[in-house]
Amino acid sequence: MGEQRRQILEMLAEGKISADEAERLIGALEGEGGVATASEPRKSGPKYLRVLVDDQSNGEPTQVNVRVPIRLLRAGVRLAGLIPQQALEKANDEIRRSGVPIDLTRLKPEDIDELVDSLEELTVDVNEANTKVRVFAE
Amino acid sequence: MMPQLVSVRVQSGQRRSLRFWIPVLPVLVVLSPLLLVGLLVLLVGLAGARVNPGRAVVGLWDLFCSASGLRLDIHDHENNIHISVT
Repeated sequence: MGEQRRQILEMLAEGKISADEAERLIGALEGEGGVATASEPRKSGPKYLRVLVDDQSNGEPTQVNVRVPIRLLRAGVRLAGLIPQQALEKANDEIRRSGVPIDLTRLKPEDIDELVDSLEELTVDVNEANTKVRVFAE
Repeated sequence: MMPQLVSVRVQSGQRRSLRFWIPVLPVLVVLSPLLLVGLLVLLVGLAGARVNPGRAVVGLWDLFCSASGLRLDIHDHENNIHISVT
């Protein structure tokens, strides 16, 4: 991709293309790179999902600090994609019984990848009187 | 890259903390005969459950290799537990 980027910059320097066109072409190149490495976390993006819990509901402070690599989440969901259909249907029944209408059989690995991608922008803050929970990517 | 070291620190009350450093590769080498048997049992089980054994084993290995960077800290008034995979 570096060579193609250089060619675009040379074309821009020679005046063969405008700055807007160069920007669009480089953007398209980066897009291609993004698709090629969709299964890997972006280098510039967050690498970890952090969960911080600070609980004082029992009068005593309890702190939990978990750092999960996003790669681990991806590997986990990819592995979950191998679960046989029958097992998913059984899990669906149990989930439905507990009142959550989610159909696991309709979740495709691509969807799960997208879900993990969107975790990178996730921030959850829960503030209660005695409990604070923060979930974010870093 | 597979994890190299798992460090575990446990402290309960006023006692001295216990620390373990587990070097992953040497432990894998020592346990390799058992792991081989376990792998065979796993492959048979996966084939029985109609799961592609090759993809499952690759997925498990990928999961294992991705664990590097995992960290867990739990502190309460009595206990401190710290687990880190590097």
